[in-house]
Amino acid sequence: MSGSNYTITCLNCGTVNTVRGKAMTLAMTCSSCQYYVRLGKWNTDRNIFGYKDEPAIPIGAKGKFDGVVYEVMGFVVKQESKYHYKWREYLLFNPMHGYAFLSEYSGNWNFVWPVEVGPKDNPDMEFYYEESFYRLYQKYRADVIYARGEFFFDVVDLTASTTNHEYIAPPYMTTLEKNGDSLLWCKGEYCSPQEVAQAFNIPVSRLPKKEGRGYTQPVVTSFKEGTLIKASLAILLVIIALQFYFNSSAKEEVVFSGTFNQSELKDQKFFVSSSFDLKGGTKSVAMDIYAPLVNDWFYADFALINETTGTEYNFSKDIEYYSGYEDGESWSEGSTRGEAFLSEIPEGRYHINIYPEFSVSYQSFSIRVVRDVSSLSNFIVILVLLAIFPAVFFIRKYMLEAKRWEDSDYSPYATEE
Amino acid sequence: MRWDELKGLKYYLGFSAVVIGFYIYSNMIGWRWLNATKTTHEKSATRGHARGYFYHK
Repeated sequence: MSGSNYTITCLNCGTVNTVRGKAMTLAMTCSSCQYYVRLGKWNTDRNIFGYKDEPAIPIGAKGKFDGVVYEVMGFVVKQESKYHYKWREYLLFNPMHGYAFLSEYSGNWNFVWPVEVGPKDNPDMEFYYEESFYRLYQKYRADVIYARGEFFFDVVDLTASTTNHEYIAPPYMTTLEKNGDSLLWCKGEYCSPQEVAQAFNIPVSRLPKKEGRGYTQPVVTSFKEGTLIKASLAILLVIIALQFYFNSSAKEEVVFSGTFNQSELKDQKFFVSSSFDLKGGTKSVAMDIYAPLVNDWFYADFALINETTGTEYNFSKDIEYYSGYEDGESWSEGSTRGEAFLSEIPEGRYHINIYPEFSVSYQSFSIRVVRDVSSLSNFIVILVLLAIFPAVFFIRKYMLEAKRWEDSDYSPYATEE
Repeated sequence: MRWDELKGLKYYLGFSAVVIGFYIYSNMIGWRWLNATKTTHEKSATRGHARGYFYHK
């Protein structure tokens, strides 16, 4: 729209201003004295603003959003009526797509455009709209405290006369401007400063420094929360299926069982089991040990010996069992059984040497050797490992969401004090 | 769920694939990750019992 010969002379300073919006422009400021005029009806009550600001994106600059080139027509600074915080808005225009806004608060940006069909005329605190769940974030009235450029409406009076509702579903937002019976719905989406700078082909350092997280800034931008949930569920199903497979395919073959009595010990101080074969490549071996203990303990060193290679797998096992009757109640602790689990035992012919320590209350014990036993602990460990990322993500998300809503009067995270 | 949506999760999916692969390998060779039974290995030079005192199978 630049280059138009549609001009207007400022009544305040006499500067001839080119009107880029031609007949569409209904209000503008003088490029020289910043005098705000409503075209066609001069209003001398509000001639100049008592506040001044410089737009980070110059009037007339062109930027591309979603493949559409917009031109910056106007720039306003608005101030909220109750808490008096300020933010900046840029009016953008494309001849084919109409107007849109770029709003900026503390270096956080939203690209906002009007929609023909809004969520509903009388929205509740929360609603679904275009597959997103929106919650009311703020309700406010505002005033324009500074304007520059051209506007397709009387931005000063319109802003002062409307009540605004903002609903968020990061990265999206919907805004409702109510003015009497008229409603205007807009939809917006969070833009990073880098995206804004890239759109206008300006260095990001020219934009206001980003402070904190924007109220529509998503927790992550690289993936969707739903995608993480679906991926995590798929991974969980894979692990469960694998564990089911390993449980069902484990042979759990008893390769040796025997009972050993102290009376069998003569000159030697240890027992020697008969030989047995471990088959099926490298697999686990579990040993169940039973000692008929009563208020006593059992301890033994074991050596599982590969008769071919001479490799020894040495381990020990301690079993304790105590019971009694006290204060009208019987109690017990420990067990007369114990299990030793040996990982990665190659196939071959083996026997076990057992070096027991007998007490006075028992003279025998039994062992049972089982080949290829499935392990539940690996399943639990992998569940924990793979749950760390989703768990950290959702905990962090909860904390960031709670912080996001700290500035809202309608926080779902607020607790009654 | 489209494949391009998973791009943002590539590190998590890569980590998961490695961990699941390790889990499969461990289960195939009977390796329990958290094993309360502490085992020591010894290699006998005489293909018999590695302890120093008498034993002849």
